[in-house]
Amino acid sequence: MRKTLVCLMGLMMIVGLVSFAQTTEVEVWVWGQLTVDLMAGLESAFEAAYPSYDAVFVPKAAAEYNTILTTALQGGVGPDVFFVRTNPMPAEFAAAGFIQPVDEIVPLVAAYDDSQLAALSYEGRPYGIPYATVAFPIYYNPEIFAANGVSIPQTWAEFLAVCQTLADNGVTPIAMTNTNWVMSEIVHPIVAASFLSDAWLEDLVAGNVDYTAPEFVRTYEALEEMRPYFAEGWEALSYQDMRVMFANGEAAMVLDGNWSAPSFLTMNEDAVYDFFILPGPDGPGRMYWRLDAGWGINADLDPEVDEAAVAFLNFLAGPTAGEILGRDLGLLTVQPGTRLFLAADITTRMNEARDAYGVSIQYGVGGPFDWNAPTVSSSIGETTAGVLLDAITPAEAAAMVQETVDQQ
Amino acid sequence: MAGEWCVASLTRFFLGAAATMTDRPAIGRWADRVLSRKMRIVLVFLLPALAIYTVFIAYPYITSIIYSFTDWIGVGERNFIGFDNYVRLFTEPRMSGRWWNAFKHNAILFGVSMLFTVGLGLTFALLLSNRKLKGRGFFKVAYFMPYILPPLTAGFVWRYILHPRIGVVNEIFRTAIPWLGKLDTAFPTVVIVWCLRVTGLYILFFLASILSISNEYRDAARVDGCNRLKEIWYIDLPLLRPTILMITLLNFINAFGAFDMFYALTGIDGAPFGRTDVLTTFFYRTAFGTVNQPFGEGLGMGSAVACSIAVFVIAVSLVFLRLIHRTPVEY
Repeated sequence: MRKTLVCLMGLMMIVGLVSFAQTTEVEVWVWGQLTVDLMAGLESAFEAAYPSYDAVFVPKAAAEYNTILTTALQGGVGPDVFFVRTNPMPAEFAAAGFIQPVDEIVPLVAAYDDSQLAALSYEGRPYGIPYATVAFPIYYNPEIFAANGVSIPQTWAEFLAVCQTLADNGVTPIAMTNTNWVMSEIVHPIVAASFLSDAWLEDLVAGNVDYTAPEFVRTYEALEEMRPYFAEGWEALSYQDMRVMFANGEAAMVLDGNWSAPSFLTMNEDAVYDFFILPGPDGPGRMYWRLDAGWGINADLDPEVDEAAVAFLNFLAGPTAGEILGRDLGLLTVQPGTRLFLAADITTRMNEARDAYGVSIQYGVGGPFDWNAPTVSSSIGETTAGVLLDAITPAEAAAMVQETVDQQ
Repeated sequence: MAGEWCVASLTRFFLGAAATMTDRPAIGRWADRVLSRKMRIVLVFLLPALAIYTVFIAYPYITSIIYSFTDWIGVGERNFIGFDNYVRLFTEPRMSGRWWNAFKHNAILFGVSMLFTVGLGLTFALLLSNRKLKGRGFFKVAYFMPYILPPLTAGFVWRYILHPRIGVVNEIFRTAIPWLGKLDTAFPTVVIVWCLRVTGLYILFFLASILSISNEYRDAARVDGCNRLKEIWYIDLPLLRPTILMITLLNFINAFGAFDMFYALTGIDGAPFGRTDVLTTFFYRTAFGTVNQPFGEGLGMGSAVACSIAVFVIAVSLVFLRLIHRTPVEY
């Protein structure tokens, strides 16, 4: 009898210990396997801070992410925490009751920039923690520049002259792709930031000018001027092809986002690169930047998972996560208190350039003309490709973008 | 109430059918009165397939038709808006322009695929029907091999074969042509790749039909002095008419439902600049959106696009089916 009792107590203790040792998993959806790989440091830091919780990152194809996430949430099988793009996505999810407001569960939200929270808000309440701001420089290969006797251009004319010198010397000046989202999120905004003034952008949002204005048409004309310097066969190159080409030193420059800074080294560990801001017609240009996405939390979670997910959100909102994301993914500061102590030098300098020369008035992606379908950003992508492929003129492109706004 | 009546009726029905099958006295007097013994057995075997068809085919069709009359974007509220989606689809220049652009591409795809599948397919099948041809087995397998790969996989493989910098095609011709990126080469390239993949299947269809033609006709023709060409013209082609019509119908349905390969080769945007947009990629973008337009034009509008495609394909298919039933050939 005594032996039986001792055995039973021992068994109960083992079961109790096993239960205690089990961690609560938080399923986190992000776009792309590369993002998951680069978030290993973030995952480790969270699990070190919260030993009873385990963050499981699940990659989803970036191009289909919106559809996959919407379908999963609609079907009640969505993830616990996930990337959510800027409005209209969080607003629609909030209206449908799929995601929770974060102002009461993440106290640090109060320290965030209001304009960033606005892009993730619905009826005045934030439904996402800002994840990262993205900035769009021109990456260049300093060794190729030095070997061809060219330096960082200070005006648009100098930029074209640099491209011509490189081309004359048999060097591919610019790696490029023909992908719609790259045209709308990267290529056109890089040019537009340096060609459109703050005053014009404010007039656009206020409705005093529209997209058919000569200033906007000029952005397409500038892209036409760049076209002769694109890599041969660019029309059929993918985004990854473009990046690999630059990382391998097969092109002198590439238009890309700050997130690619650590990625080039995964493609070629000997990759050599730095950045400059595309100059404007008359002098130094500006660097376009915007809030890329936020972290949302599912509104339909079991209490235990909800507690773990809330802990993860609070961790993401803090400066520790900010430093790790800056170091591992090259992301620019968004978490209050982040100083990028651990980030690579190029990321720190890009952050400083954003503060000094940045422009974030959103005429395209995530901006006021992107709330309703058809979105201006999709139209900008399509028309940019159309101009670069010589299918439409710059004036026709601008008119098509304005037509999109008129049909909203 | 209605649910309980259904369950009770079905229970009596199955009990009656089971009792009939084992030759025991019937328990379900209702089933005995309504249906013959044979019909009950048939329905018992059909019911599982019917259930699967209802859940995975009929239900999505019906809900898609219902959604097409709403303004639903995929989340949130769903409001009935009548025929607004259809009116917008065919009157709003942006939407109707894209619909007709995509329709044109599907029509061209159908036309070109007919040349490949019926033209080339029949020719190769007639050649392969010669039993004295050496290596028949090898050729049959070789022509059919491209069809084995799923279209999505084949599309991704071809994307690399046609790559402007590392592709085999450009290596052979010593060029750097962006076959899938230029305005004037993208669509023809996709069409040719699509046709090359499906032709093998139709060669086998034709070959099977040719081999099923009785040799009596050929023997009689030879007695009358026919050569092989006359045999083909007077015997094979007339007797293959139902097969040709059936393959035309299959081609039509496949051409207007083509999606996987277009998605793999040029993406969901119909790049470059809509030159490879087909009705299914147009539907996908409209219903599910893209990176820059998260909800597209909404599932309601997307369902309207899907329904418009279905109506057209079903209508034309019914015409083909009537033609097939009206053209028996007898000797």
